[in-house]
Amino acid sequence: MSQDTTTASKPQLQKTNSISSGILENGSAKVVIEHLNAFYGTKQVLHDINMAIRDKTVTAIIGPSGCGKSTLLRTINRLHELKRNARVEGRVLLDNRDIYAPDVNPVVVRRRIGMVFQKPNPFPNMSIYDNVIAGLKLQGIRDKAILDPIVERTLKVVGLWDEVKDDLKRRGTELSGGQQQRLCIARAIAVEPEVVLMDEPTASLDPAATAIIEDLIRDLRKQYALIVVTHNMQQAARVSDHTAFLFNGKLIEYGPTRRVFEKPEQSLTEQYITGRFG
Amino acid sequence: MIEERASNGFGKDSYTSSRHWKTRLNIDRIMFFVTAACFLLVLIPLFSILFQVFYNGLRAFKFAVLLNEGGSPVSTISGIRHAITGTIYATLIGSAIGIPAGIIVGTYLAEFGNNSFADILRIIINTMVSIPTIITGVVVWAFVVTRVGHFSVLAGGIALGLIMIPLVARTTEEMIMLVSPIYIEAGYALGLTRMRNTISIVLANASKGIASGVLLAVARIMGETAPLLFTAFFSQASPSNIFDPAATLPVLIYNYAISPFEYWQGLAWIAAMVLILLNLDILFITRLMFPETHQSD
Amino acid sequence: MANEKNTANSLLNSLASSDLSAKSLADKWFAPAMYLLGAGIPLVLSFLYLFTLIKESWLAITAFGLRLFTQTSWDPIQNNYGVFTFIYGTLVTSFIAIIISLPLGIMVATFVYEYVPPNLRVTVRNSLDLLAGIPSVIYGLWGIFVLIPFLKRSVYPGLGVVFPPVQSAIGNSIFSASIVLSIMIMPILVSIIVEGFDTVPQSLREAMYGLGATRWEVTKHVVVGTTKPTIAAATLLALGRALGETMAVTMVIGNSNNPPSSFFAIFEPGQTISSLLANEFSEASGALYLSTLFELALVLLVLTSIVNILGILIVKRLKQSYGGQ
Repeated sequence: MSQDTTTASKPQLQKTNSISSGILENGSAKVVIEHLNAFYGTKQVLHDINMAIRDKTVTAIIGPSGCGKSTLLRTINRLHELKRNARVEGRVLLDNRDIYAPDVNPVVVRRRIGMVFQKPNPFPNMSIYDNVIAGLKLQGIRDKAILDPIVERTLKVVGLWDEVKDDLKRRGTELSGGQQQRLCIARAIAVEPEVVLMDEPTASLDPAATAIIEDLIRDLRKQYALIVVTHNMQQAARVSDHTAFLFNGKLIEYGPTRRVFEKPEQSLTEQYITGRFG
Repeated sequence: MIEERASNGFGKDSYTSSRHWKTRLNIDRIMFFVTAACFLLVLIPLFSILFQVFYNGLRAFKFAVLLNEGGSPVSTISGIRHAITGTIYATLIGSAIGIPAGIIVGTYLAEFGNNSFADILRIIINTMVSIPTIITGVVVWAFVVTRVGHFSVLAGGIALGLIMIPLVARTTEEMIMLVSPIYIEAGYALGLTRMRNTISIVLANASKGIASGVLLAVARIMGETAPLLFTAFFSQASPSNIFDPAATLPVLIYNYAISPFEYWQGLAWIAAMVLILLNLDILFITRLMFPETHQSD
Repeated sequence: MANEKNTANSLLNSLASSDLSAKSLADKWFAPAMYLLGAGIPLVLSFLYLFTLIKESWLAITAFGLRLFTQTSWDPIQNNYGVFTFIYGTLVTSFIAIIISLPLGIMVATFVYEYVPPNLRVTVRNSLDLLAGIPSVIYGLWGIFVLIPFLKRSVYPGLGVVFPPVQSAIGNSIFSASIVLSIMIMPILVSIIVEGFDTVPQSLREAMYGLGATRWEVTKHVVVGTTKPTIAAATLLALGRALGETMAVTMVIGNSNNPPSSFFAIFEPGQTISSLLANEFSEASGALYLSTLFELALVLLVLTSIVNILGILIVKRLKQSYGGQ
């Protein structure tokens, strides 16, 4: 796992580039998706997705509901395959290493890719403190001298420290919805992932809480490759560097957010963005 | 912030190389087999019981056993007919008490029970379901047997009926709750009175589920032993009327199993086989009638 | 659920048979009768149980007071009764059964819910239901002729090497009764725990997977972690069942009224409250003897009811909290 058996080859990257124009101009890909097909039983939900995602950027995935956005996100940390009858074909490269290679354990992959869900889901049986360190505990880190500073720092990153520092022993589920979601982000980044996936992270939040999370997303970009699924186009425009438009399980358009929104190349994208369907 | 990341000592590499990963993944694999082994361990008694009952039951079986009344352990023609008759008597009496009373209580809870008084009743009923059945035997002895003056299959049936009431009440309420309120409202909208609506809409629609729950309750009381020990007691002849003491299959199994006579022990196995077959039949019929319910207590 | 055509028919039938203009006498009395019977039956029954047991045991209660529970001698001939032995037998058999069953039950529930493919789950459930449906006297029969010979032949000799008191173990003992009990309470334990696992939101599991947890870690930290109250309720309800179980215990425990030789006398014959009742109630002669047995029945009723009500209340509270989500 540690040694880079560089299985990714240049030609395929080039092909990817032809779809996702302008993504890799000044940098290398953190995640590369190649010929990805995903299925539930015999029903195909993703068709031949190819895209490269840059490090330290925010990539938004937009599209009407049921277009496969969430599925695409969940193939990147191999969560998709946990569902019944779910199946994936193709490759997803993380730092040029195929995470679907037979010798790769999905558990190891998920450790390197954090995820934030649609509804805030702090573990109800754990305190705020324990929620933040849940992932670290899995790795066998029990030393409070190591954990305490991490909790403080992580909660500061998500802007929760001042609000909860005096009652870290409280249950995570006792916080407000927006606070819970920030706690979940803290939980995801406490294990120092390389990529953070967010599945409609503000879908269940009020506008004020949404604004805080959006600020946080822009902030986190300095450290991580963020991939954010959203059904809210304004949100995509506000927070992302690159935008991918998905329709009926196919990647229709993918490029720098400004270009996608201002000068979409595909008429389908234009129709969606201007609100003619969705 | 970015500088700090590198310094916390468990950055990018510790997790990829460490033995820790291997241990965790191995524990995961091992636990699959451990839980599977636990499951098999739990199934062993089930299969052993079923196998032994049929093996020993069939080994001792002859048709005469089902036709002959009880008798001494040395006469090898005595049978278990008296116990089958007794079980039928006791179960019928129990059902005659338990089914109507249980359905009334269950209907009351479902239709009129949207208040805290009914909540207390529910707790009482759930507690009654789990009262050790031997206590019911003791109570019925004090209340019925001492009054009648001797053991009787009637007293046994009453004990079984008392055990059945909360079982039937619970299942009735559950099944009525499954009836879609649309039908009930439709009934009222058509001007049906509360009684008509309850009987022709609510109970009619829940009848299948209630019937399956009732059958399970019948199966349950048919296998009860403890409440019959001091009520129906035992006898070596079929009861001629409900005031006679009577043998039942479960009590016969108990009495004969702890007896020193091999022939009687054989009869106990046969009785167990008959009882399990009756039980399985009812379970099977219930599943056929109403595949969605699978409740047990 | 309900067949629409049937419903339509029954609606029409009831319309045809009911005169809409007049409320019949039966209609008028329907609601009051339902209140009277529906609420009356459970109340009268519970009163009947309590009243009968208290009335019949009054003689013993006044004669012995609390001394009854500390005394160990059970002597119908001298008319002197102490029930410590039976309380000990009841509690010890049940606790050992729980100690054996609870970890096993959690493992089985884990296997059934988290590891078995959903299409196999029905079969698994059916076999557990079957196990629950076997009459307890058949467990006893199996205990006498299959389990005890097996324990004596294959388990006790080996266990005796590690734990010397077992060497003197005879088949019919408190420990054998505990094993039978542990088998009998397994279905109730597993079915309630599985129900609890079912209420754990999938997104919590996914959150833990997302942090890089293995399936076992998800089960341990999230699934079992969040269902602890359910597991407690399952334990209480199983304990209630074990405390009151009569026939299977009576047939394998050895029915000895001798006080336990030591605090941990589980490899010798014993007696539980219910097995004592099964053995002696129908032959008890003398008012005080009988009254003492009634008092034991009352103790058993109170004991199991407390345990069960606690379990029921936890389940109720859980249902409400999940219903509110």
